[in-house]
Amino acid sequence: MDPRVENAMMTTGMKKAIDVKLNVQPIFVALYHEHVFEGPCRFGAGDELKKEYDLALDAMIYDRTKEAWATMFDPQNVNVLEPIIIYRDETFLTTDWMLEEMGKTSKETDVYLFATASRPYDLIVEFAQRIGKPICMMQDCCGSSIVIPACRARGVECYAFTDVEDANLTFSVLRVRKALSELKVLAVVRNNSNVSISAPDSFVSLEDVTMKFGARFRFINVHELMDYSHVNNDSTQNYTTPGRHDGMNITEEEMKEAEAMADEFIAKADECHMERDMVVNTFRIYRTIQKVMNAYECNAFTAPCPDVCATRRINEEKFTFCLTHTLNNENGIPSACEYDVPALFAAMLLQNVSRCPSYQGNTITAPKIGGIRQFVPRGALLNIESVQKADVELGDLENVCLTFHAVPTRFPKGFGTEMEPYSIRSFAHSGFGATVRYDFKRDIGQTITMARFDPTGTKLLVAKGTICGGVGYGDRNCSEGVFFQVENSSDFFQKQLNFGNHIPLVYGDWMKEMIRLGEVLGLEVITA
Amino acid sequence: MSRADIVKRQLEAISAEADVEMAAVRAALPALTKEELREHLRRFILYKFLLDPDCEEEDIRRLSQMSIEKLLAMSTRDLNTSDLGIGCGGTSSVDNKIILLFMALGRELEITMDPLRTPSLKTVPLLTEEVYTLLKEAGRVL
Repeated sequence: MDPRVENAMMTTGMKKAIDVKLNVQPIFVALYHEHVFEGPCRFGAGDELKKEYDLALDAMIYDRTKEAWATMFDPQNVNVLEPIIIYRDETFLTTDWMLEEMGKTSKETDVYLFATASRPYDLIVEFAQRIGKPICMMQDCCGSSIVIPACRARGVECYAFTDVEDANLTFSVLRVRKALSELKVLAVVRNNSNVSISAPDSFVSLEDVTMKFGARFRFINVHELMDYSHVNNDSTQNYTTPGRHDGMNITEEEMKEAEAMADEFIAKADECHMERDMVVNTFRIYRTIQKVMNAYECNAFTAPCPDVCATRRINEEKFTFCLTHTLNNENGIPSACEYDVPALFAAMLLQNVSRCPSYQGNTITAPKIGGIRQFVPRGALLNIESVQKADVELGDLENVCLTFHAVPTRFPKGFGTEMEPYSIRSFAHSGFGATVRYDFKRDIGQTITMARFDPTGTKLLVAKGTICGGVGYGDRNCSEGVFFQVENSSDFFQKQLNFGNHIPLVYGDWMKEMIRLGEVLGLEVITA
Repeated sequence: MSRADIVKRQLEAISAEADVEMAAVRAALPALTKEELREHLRRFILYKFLLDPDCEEEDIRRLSQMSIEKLLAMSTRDLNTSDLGIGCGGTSSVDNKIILLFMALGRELEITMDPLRTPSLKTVPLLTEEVYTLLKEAGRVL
């Protein structure tokens, strides 16, 4: 078959956001003087005024700079391309050859990093205007304070760094911005591909989000997805796509993988309060989603649980998406409940800045008024006895908030860190829908960083808190949660009102990084 | 005689010692061995950098730094002939001394040293190899 036809169905699988690197192209622009003379911008005597002297000096500065470039940036974030050196004499000509040579790697380059010997400022400005990519420099005397304002005045995105730490911070957030632009979300749809029934505080327009951040969406109908979760080696038997041989039904072999994953999940848990077949069932949809994500080359996931819940298919299939979200997030695949795309994007930012799996949930303030912790649900959503116990444990603490959903991570301290203890309980009282239960009380005193986009995609909430309690470890349902203190819970709440319900969080203080990231994304950053 | 004049005479004397080393290299051609060249170059550098001829350091950058340190230890009043570096585009004194050293070496031995190779000639043995190769390519050593 014609390879152009064959390639139509060729996919590259999933490319995780955390594996994305920022390609930095260093360029060194050197000046030499063709003629011997001294003047107001050239100093020295004797041999110092010769061309050979300039060339040797350029070579020595370049050599040291190249050596520094190779080691000064965090290799987790940055891929430093082979440096390019451009020579120029005192004629100060900018030729097309120079510009082409400087831009020869533009296809893979994300950021240009300039260093200079002498004064090639006009050349850098002209290049920056033409290449259309960010440029940056380490602070020097005095190119950075000449080139950067000149470029900014001409609409070029550019940065200068006071030190290596500053450079690494900026590169780390530019990397996350790049990763966000390469995000491809598998979005499960029932009725409305833009917002779900339960999360209208999601982005007003996904199209706008794609235009602004580059992130893309691949939609799949929930019934088609559900039918793929039925073990069948013959995809033509899929009810929703009858006769199609290219369906993605989970095969018997893949189902065995799902069973093995379930057994490992149970074996590693401190406690398992579910029947094995119900845990296996949860892994059935997890394995199916992985298969579809790979086929669609997706690296993020969301599904509208309430919309799907209403079809009764979740009840019929006997699984929920909770564990898929937990496992995805633990694997560096941002995954959000309830088709909440702003939460998904914020989780992605947090995960990539901190390199920790994130947790998300309904977030409320819980002030103690009249001796009672207000706004904390008591009853069907959160077990009343657990809440009462938490009330006692929290005492009179002020500025307390609660985030709760049954999607905690077992690796809150970072991807690849040691797994923390957990138990397994069903989401449903009738026993289906495996969820991880994590005791947040283990981490009292731990600083957390939270974030959320607003529905217009123009603002980013970045907040900090300290864990002060937990709830729901021994319960079912959405009741798993973490209490934390913020500086001012009333202020937090008022700010939250411009953003939305689910506020993802990660462990650690990442305020500085998240604020900088919000800025490079062109967002108005609101802190709390 | 002022103290500055005394220092100046001392520096001129040391410079003359450096010239002697180069004269010895030229005189030994074409039978000059690589080992002989290395010893002459080592002493040439030490004299040029005003360092003790018994110094065993072979890293040229380090030698340049030591030279600067020694110069800075002298009173600036005494150092009218100081070659502390100045330059356009961030020349450091250490770089300046190395570049001027190599240019002087090329001139003394009438060889054309490639300025772009300057950073790679980090040690006395590497410099020896480079100079010996250039002399050989010019047919001036056997």
